[in-house]
This record gives sequence, structure tokens and C-alpha cells, in this order.
Amino acid sequence: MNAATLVMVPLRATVSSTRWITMLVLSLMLVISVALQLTQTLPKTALIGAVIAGYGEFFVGLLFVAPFLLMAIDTRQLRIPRSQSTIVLGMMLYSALWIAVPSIALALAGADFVTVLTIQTVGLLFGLTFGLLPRVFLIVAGFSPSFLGLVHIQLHYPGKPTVLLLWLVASVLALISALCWRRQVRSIDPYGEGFNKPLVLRSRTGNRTGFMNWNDWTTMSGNSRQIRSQPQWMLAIANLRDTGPQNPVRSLRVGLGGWMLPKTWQSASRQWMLVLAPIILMMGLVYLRAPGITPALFHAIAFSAVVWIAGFGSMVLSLTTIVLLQQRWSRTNAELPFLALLPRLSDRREVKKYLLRASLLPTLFWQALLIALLVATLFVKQASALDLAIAALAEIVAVAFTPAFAFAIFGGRPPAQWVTGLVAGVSFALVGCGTAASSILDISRTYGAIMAVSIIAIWFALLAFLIGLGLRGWRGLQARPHPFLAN
Amino acid sequence: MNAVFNAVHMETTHEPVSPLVAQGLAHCYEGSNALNGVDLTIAPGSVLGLIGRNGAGKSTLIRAMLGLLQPISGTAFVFGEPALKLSDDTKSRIAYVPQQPDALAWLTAQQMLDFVGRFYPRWDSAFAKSTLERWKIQPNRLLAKLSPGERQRVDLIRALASQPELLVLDEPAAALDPVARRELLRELALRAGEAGTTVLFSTHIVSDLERVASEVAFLHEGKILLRCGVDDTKERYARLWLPAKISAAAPSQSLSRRRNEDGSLSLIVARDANGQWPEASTLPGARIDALGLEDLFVEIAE
Repeated sequence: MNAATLVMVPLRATVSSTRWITMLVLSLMLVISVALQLTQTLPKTALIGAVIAGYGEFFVGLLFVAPFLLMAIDTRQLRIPRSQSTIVLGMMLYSALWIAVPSIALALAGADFVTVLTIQTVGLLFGLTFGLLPRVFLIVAGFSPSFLGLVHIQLHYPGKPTVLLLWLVASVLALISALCWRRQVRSIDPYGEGFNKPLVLRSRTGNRTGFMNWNDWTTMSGNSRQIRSQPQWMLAIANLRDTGPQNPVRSLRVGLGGWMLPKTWQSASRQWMLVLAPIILMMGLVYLRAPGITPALFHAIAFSAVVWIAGFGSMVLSLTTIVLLQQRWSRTNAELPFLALLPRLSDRREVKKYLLRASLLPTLFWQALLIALLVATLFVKQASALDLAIAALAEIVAVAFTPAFAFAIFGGRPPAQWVTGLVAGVSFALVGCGTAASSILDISRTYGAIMAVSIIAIWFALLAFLIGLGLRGWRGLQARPHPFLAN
Repeated sequence: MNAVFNAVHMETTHEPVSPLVAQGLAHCYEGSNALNGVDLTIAPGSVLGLIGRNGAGKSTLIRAMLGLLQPISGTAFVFGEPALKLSDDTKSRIAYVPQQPDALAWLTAQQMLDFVGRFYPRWDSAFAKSTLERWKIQPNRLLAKLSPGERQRVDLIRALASQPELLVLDEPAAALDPVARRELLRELALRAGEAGTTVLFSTHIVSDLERVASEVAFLHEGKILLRCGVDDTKERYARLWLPAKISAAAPSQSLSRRRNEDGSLSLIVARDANGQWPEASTLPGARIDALGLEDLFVEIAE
């Protein structure tokens, strides 16, 4: 092992698009943090800036650092000598760099270096742990910001978390990561998938290396390998009642599969339980810690927590649908030829309309429910105009995602994969920036004009992009002789 | 069952148009040509084997002929209709099995066949059920959990149970064991012979062609290099070997031409309209070697 080998490790463990996306997301967070630091003089500004940059570090840990595990598995399987230590050292070196650069930048802008450094370390380690933990933890992790906010407010946590406490958290996260790493590298079947396997492994199929290659995400939705990796009790059981030529929309949903598949009520109940169980568990935990506050729990949920759940939920719904459609429209030996040659599905012109209904309505229905939840909260909480604008924009963009991309995919004009990944990454980052931070620190009132305008401007830019994409796709769809042509 | 096929076939009297026609099909992927102006017509009731090396364009040609991709130029017709705008009636007359089929992995084999059967007016559910049993495929198993060979067999059942007049199979035997392959070929021969089903199938396995195809088309670098009856190949094509000293007399028209290390020349030549080999074959030292289908394929594809 020499210095050159060490420096080259990330180039071999990640793909270039991943590195670019990671760098862009972190840069965006950093620019926002520094701008905040330089334009705001409120007491919490330094901390808010550090948390926003830390959110960027989370993506670094997840997208850039966690994929080192894939290389560690490969090199161990190939019995390459001294590879493990090189990979671990390379990972530590680059993690230190990713943490140091934003910390120095923020310190130069006036923040306390030690605090910033601590928050960046915790952020990166959260991302790494997120990538290395078994996938089953994802369900719980998705609710963690709201949960932390809730606990913070409701349990009357005495003051801000201290630097010492954060280092303790970082140590625990590092320990968990190390254990997960060791377990997976030494596993008898390190490539096997399942809910007890790390999230980062999902990116392996067809992957040249690295995590979050968009193409890999598009191949994982509902294909045979993914279905085989699920335990029997979790598999969806199709309900074929009322399918056939008399009901083309329902039949198309069978053809599209994934979460659009009509399921038996038993199967649907089991899948709902998967979503609801963590929420019930969290409520139970809160109740156990402080039974007295439980009746007031729903009243106490902060506006920003609801905004975050609605925004994050809508975005996940859109992304799930887009990934599924991308995957279906990229395979030439699967559903497309089947649907293209299936007789009596409907008239050639009508089939486009039915396809749009089958693919968009389930997503839009659940997004409408989330919007209803948001609107109800707006009334109850009497949110400020600024918060309202940011929340509304996040929802509008999340809702616009699905039709825009669906038109583009069906019309044969999907954007480049890195563009899709970038847009999705920026959107998630904005949802997090606008709401998650405020749910923990209650900072919504401290948004300065520049910050608010910046976030709103980026939302509008995304919306304009989606409208352009959708119109281009719509024209393509009109020009296509039938929609079941692979891209 | 054959009686059912015949009855159905007689009931559905269609104009005797070619089931599949390709006219000047051209397509390319990321700058490299997959099809270079392919013309191909398949006569009703014939069994055409499409053979070619990996990447020769077989799957692309099949997909373009069925309207599953929009070619850069050229047109394709299925039973006289533009392939990209097929009517329900035409769709119900055709069945296609892609290479390594992977559709509807979330359904069980039984569910898939039940679901698909609802769309085909002549669906033979008894055939589907009995063949599932005969081929020992568990009906309640998810398609995702079947082996590639089982998956291919389920898709073949799906295709055959719809009683198509045109059956298009892309490498149908690739994942099958020898017994299943033999059974499939027997079924194809039966369908073609007794029900008059037109079959187009691509393959690498030359012995499959010899067993079941009535015609063969060689696809090489996106072009149909030759097409003839399987039984005619030995008569029509041969290898002409010319020693170095008379290699200059080699005919300009040949299917392939290879210079050997000793300077001699090997060419694949065809008989002319009068049934004669090229003149060079009569020169002293020249030699004509009869070729089997596999040798012919290798000589052309190399």
C-alpha cells in the first residue's frame, strides 16, 4: 500500500456521477450555510448553518462513504491481500477531508470551529450508518427527524445538546457502522439481499461500483431479483378480480406491478402494517417515557414536522413511481412487449389515456391525502405566509414530479439519469432544509429574506424544469404510435 | 386438441397475406448499426429460423418486425398491418416470447396464465393447465422464484395457449434442458404442420434449425446474408478452395472470403441461376467442398 493507492480508493469505489452529485449537494448546503452565517446575526444562526451543512454531510456519508463497503466485499471475495486496511484507511482519509473542508469554511465565516466540526462528523456518520444498517431500519429512520423534534419538545430536554454529547453520539454511530461493516464483509453470502442486509447493497446490480447510480435504482423496482430477496410474508399477492378487457386501467396496473399492483386485502394490510408499525412503536415509546403528555401529543406536533412528513412523503411517492416507470420502460424482455401485444387492452388512442390513469392516479391519490393533512395543519397552526409558501411549493413540486416524468418516460424523452438523480437529490435536500431543521430547532421564524427567497427560487426553478420536461414528454407521447416502446 | 386447432384455423379465414414483412428496416444503438436495411418476408405456414452471432441484430430485427421498437427507417407489417399500429384482431393472432422473459414476476404462473387468458378469444386453458403439469411447473409459485428455464417454459405455454397464427420466439431454447428443448421443437413442428402456424425463431443452435425449420436466414452485422430452404443449403452453397497460384481467378461474388496462411483462398459460393458453381471451380487444383448448416454458418459468420 502506498499513498497513491490510498488516494485512488474512492475513484474505484464510486462512480463519477455519484461523486459529482455528492459534491453538488454538499456545496449547495455549504453555500446556504455560509450565506446564512454572513447575512444573519441571530444567536442561533451559527448552529443552524452547521446543521444545514451537516445535512449535506449526511448525503456524503450515505452516497460517498458507505459504498466503500462494496469494494471491501469484492476485494475480500477475490482474496486481494492488504486490501481491507487500504479501503478502511482511504475511507477515513476522505471522511476527514469531507468533514474538514466545510468546517473550516464555516469557521472562517464566523462559526465556532469545534461545534461545526462535531456536527459535521455526526452528520457524516449518520449517513454512513444509514447506508450500512440493515434496510429494515430505513422505515424507522424516515421518521427520525420528526421523532427527535417531538421528543425534544415534549420531554423538555434540558437545553441544547452539548458537544460532548454529540461526540458520544458520533462514537456510537461509528461503533454501529464498524459492526455492520464487519458483519457484512465476513458474511457467508455477502451479496445476498433482504431486509436484514445493508441498504448500500441495493446498488450492486449492474453497478460498475459505488452507490446511487440512478440506473441501479431503476432496475431494483419489482424485478425478479428484488422479489426473490423479500421474505414470503412481505410479498404482495395480486388480486386479479375485475381485471381483463372490460377493465383496462386495473389490468394495466397488474401489468405495471410494484405498488400499483391491485392486491388482496390481506396482502395490503400486511404492507400497511409495515408502514404503521414504526409510528405506533414511536408513539408507544413516547407514552412510556411520559404518559402524561400523550393526550396532548397531536396538538403538540410542530407545523414543520407535518410539513416535513408531507413533503418527504410526497417526494418518496413520486420517486417510487418514477423509478418503477423508468425500470419498466428500460427493459425489452419484460412488461413492454407483453403490454404492446396484448389484444383487447383498449383502442390504440385510448390506451395512452388508460396508461396515464393507471400509473398516475394511485400516486396522486396518496399525495392528495398528504396535502389534506398539510392544509388541516395550516388551519390549526395558523402558519406564517413564508412557511406556507415554502410548504406549498414543496408539495406542488413533489406532485408535479410524477406526471412530468411519466410523460417524459412514456413519450420516449426521459432526461439523462444523472439529471434525474440530481433533481431528486436537490428536492430532498430542499425538503430537509426547509422543514426538518425547523422541526428540531424551531427556526422557522428566523428565516431571513435571502434564505427564504433562495429556497423559493430553487423550488420555482425545479417547477419550471418539471413543466418543460412534462411538455416535451407529452409531445413525444402524442407522436409515438403506441406508448409501450422501450427507451 | 389438434382438431380444435384445425377447427379454429378454418373458422378464422383471413386473406392469405404474409404474416410478417420487413422492408428496408434500419436501426442503430449509440452510433453502431444494428440493422442495415433488412428485407424479409415470411410465407404463411413456414418455419423460419433466424441465425446469427451474438449482436448480429436478431432480437432487434424481431422487435422491429413486431412493432416493439421504432426503426430509424423502413417499415414492417404483420398480417398486412403496420407493425407499430396493430389492431386487436391482429394482436390476438400473434404470440411472442422474448429472450429470457421477465414479465409479471409478481404473479404466480397460474395467475399469469389466468390473467393473460382473459384477453385472448381463442385461449386454450386446458392446454395451459395440462402443459404446466406435464412440464412440472408449480402453478402457485411466483414467476420471480422460478428458474430461468421454468420461466421460459411458462412463457412458451402462454404463447402457445393463445393459439396464435404467428409465433415469434427469440432464442426459445436458450435456457431449456435437452429434454424440454426437444419437447418444444416437437410442439413447434406440430403447430406448423397441423395447425398451419407460421413460426419465426432465432437461435444459435444449428441442430434446432435442422430439426424444425423449413427455411433459414443468416443475419450478419445487421444484414440478411442468405436465405434458403434448410434442405437446399447443401445443394446451393459450398466452400470453394483455390490454391495460391490461381487465387486471382476467384469469383468476385461470394458470401465470404478468407485468405489462408499458405496464400490459398477459401470462399463460400452459391450456384448460379443455371445451377452451376462459379467457373473458377473447374480450374486445375480448385476444390468444391459441401458444407453442413453449421459449417456454412461458421464460415459466413467468421
